Amino acid sequence: MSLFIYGTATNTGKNFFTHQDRLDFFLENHPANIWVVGNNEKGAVWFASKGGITKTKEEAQALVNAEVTAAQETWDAGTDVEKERFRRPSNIVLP
Amino acid sequence: MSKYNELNGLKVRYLSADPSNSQNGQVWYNSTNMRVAGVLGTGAWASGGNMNTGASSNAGFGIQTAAVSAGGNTRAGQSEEYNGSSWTSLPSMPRSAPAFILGGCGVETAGITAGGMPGGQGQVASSDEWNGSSWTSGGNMNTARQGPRLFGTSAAAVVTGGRNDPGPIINTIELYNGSSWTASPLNMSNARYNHGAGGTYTAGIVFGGSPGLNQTEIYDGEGWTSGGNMPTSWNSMASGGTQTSAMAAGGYNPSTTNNAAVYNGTAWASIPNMATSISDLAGSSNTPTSGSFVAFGGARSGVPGATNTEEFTEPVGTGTISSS
Repeated sequence: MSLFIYGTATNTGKNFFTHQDRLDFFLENHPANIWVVGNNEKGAVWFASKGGITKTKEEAQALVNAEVTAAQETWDAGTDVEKERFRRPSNIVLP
Repeated sequence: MSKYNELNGLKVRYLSADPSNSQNGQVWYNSTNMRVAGVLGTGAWASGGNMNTGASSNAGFGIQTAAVSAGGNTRAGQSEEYNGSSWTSLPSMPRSAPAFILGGCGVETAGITAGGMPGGQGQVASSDEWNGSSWTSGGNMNTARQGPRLFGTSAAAVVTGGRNDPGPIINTIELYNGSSWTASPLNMSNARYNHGAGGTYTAGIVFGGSPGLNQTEIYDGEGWTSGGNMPTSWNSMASGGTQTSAMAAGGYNPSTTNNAAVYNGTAWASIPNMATSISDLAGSSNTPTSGSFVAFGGARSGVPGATNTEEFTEPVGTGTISSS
């Protein structure tokens, strides 16, 4: 069994994940609404309850890469003033 | 019946008041209210309500259940208020040149922001005060600052450091009395900007910041002393708290991070990570304890102005003492 569940879900705000959720399972949020969830019973129940759409790790990484690459290209095409306002997005490797 | 000192090898400490820098697992007896108290659970981050408009490099002040986010990249001049559950848009800030990379401090009814970058370059000297219902222009600082950090309230604030682009990063501070800023001769040891800060007019703390700092400095109204170093160089984080209970969350250390750490008056300790790696965010700077903090806004890869809100809560339980 893999350590993590990968997938997409939309953070709806307050109590989307709770203090207790964070104690019960690993949880990380990444670009493209990708969530990496600890693959235990409580993690799986939480992800299902949020309407999460499961992806493979490779699919999730590809979605993150696409969003990061697009953001990097936007930054690279920006003016010097725009580059001063925002930092260049960095690559992300999912756990 | 099991006894605490038999289980833990320690006697319960008698204290006249609950400690401000209580640690997870600590138990004490409050001799004033005659109750046993302790930190009974593990702190963790939970999602808060999403902001109405995303913003990075915003200023934050207040506490976890009454916080203000002011200004910021992608949302210049706008502000919102958090009630512990949801965000409400506030009137626009009065600045003629809306800024981001600004600093803020105070409580929800007496907050102040100062400095910032007005466009893509430079910095401003202006400040703005929030009284709980409206913004008014405050006095101008003597030095324009980009990325300063403040502690105190709108009636008695200290602004620290900042960047005077294209000039140097600065270590000077200024004092605010509710109407005007006075340059202080009490410089920090380290020039820094986009650092962390917390505390009051005569009991402040600053930590980290650019360029590549991990140093902590403590202010007592008469000067600065060094505190314990952060575990790594750290900047552009959400921060707040007091000299004995400060918080740093998110930011760069040295890349965008979801790390968080707390200071207990002596040393920094890592705490559970936020769910999202995010930088250039703000927080409830005047929280009385690191165990009750909210971080909001920020920038993450692909999202230059995020609506994220995360709340850190460290449960404190109490109970009546029992005889045995």
